Amino acid sequence: MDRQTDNILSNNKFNMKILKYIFSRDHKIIAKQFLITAMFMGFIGLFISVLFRLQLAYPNRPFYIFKLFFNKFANDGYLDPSFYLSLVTIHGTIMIFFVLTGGLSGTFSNLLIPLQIGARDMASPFLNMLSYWLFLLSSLTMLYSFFVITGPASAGWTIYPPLSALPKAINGSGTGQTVWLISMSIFIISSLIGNINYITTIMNMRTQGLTMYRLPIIIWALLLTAILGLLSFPVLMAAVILLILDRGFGTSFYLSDIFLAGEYLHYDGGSPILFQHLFWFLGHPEVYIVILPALGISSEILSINCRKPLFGYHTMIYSLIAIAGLSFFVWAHHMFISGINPLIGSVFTITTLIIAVPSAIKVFNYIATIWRGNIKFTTPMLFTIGLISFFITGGLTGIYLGNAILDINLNDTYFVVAHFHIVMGSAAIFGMFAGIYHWYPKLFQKMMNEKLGHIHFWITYISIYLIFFPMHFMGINGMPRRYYDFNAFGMFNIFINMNKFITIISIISGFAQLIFLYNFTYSMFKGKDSSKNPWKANTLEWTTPIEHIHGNWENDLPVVYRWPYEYSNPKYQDDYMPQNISDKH
Amino acid sequence: MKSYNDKNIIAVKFIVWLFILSSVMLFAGITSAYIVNRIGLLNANKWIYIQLPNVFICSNILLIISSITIYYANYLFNEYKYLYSKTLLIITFFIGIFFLILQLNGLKYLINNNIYLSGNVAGSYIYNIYYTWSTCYIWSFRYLLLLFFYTTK
Repeated sequence: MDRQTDNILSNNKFNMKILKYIFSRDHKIIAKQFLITAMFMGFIGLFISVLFRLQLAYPNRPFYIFKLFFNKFANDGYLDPSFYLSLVTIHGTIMIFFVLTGGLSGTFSNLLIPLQIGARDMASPFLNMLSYWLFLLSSLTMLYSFFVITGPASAGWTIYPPLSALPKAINGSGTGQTVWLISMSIFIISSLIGNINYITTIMNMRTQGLTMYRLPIIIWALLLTAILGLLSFPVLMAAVILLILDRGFGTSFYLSDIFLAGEYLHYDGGSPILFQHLFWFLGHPEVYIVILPALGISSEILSINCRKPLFGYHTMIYSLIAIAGLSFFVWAHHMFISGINPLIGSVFTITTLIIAVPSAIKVFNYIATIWRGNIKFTTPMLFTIGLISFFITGGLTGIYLGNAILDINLNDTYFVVAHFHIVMGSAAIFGMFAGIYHWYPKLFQKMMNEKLGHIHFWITYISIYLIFFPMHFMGINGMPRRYYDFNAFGMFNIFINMNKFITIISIISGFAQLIFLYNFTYSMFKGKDSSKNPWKANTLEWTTPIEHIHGNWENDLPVVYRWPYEYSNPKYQDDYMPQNISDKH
Repeated sequence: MKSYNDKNIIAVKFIVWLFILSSVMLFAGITSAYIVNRIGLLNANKWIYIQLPNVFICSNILLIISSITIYYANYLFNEYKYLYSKTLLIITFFIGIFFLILQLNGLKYLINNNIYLSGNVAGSYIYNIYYTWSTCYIWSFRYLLLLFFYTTK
């Protein structure tokens, strides 16, 4: 055993103390930290969404719950209109960055990369620890914005200027927006540190025999996610720096010829469209930063639960690479109504439609894997099927929105809300649930309750369609997003009852998540003990001891002899063959 | 077959390269903003041409020289010629100080010519790149001191 290994294995001085959760550099503990923080943030994001849905369904009715939580912004229980925008902004920010980016990628990269590539830990366990603590700091900073006097940021999760650049524009443009920018800067640094570590670990620390074409798809997905983050987050950082300078130092990068409350402001020469370009250069790859890990998770779970080799392993890899590469050339499809040149719009329409090809290949491969499989409808499998369903439904509406001619009409309507909540939000969150249910035994050495898992799945799955499917029709009828009260517009009266229906289903769906929370917490202490390889899977994480040790394997690192999807091969006695067992065995 | 230690050393070097790549993307973001904004303002006749002082050219030359000296410091260190390596590190350090003096002179020139951060966007970009670069400079200075410390040890 070499020195490094020895150090890792013997560096367990905090193991018996609560302090191990603070100072731990063990990737498995850090994965748990990411997961629990993301779950906490996720419940806050969910709760916020229920609150603003209440406002949309019953705009003229006071609610005690508004007064209870946001007294200052809810006079006599009536929600303040600008605070409604803050709630929408913080909901989007939390869900996209803190749950689906930090939570999904942070949790599963940390848990799976060293375990599935046969490494003792990340390339730099210290940077890994730093990445988590910065993530926590940025999460808390974002939540702190609820306690500033003018309330949280309210320019939307995309924080378009001038609303975000002029501190006096509306309430949320003040200190809340500054706190948002500070939080996001910390988040970007955390994300960059994490991504650098993930890429380095995968490229350099793979065990003997584990070539790139023997890697599980999830590792490919996490690698490409990290590359996307590494290349796109610094550009968002550049945008944020310019925005901070505009807000605090009187520059005009994004501002020009502006009147505020009748007063002419000195800003000259800037362009708010510039921010949109910089933002969406991150923003669109961000969509894939969110969905790629979920797609990777689904690949693993499908193969295991169908007891079949993953169909089209190599094409899956090339599709992932193509999606990741193309994601840098589609950003302006978010800007079709910003007045960009129609020729440029056509170019981005084409690149956007091209990205549907590798996405469709992935879906085809999923279906081909399921086809004639010996399917086991475990909870993770159900969530994976749900993910595929959402990816198809949401992907189809993406073709509409990728087309400039249609998008100009549908932009900023509920059609867009429905599209991204299904394809990006729900699909990715289902990937996350699938991953949690599947790797729970690896995280906590216990099994989650299957019956509760099934109830959680069915309520959530049906709810999502009931919530978001009608929104397509609302959007086609021109209903705009981010409006506080639709009663002022007679043409939307036909949707009054639909809004109420969606809100009621949202509340039911919200309660269904408490079933998950109960199952998650209860199983941690009272759940059935897990065996070493409860799903009879092939990948290396199931070859480690049940009890966690820092360093993962007690003795030598495993050697890999084959790809990870050797299921139901008649050559072998069992219907699975772990990667580390040689044929001579 | 590489040992776990060897893999770890290679990995740490790789981390440094990736940090550099992320810095490049940060500057790419700022530079592309500059290009897009400049074209827009040139079309609107609002762009102000700013003649940069010669000290910035000198500081660029120093930057290139310091890259060469630090490269050779590393090369000589690997050749076990510690004294030469240390000398080159000291030279790099002083080039860094001289560079800083030139940069401050450049800043003085901008202020004397009424080019401020909050003025025309053209000037704002110079300050923006200046300050972002300074942050990187402080980091690399810290790295240089660490390197010097380890070489001395």
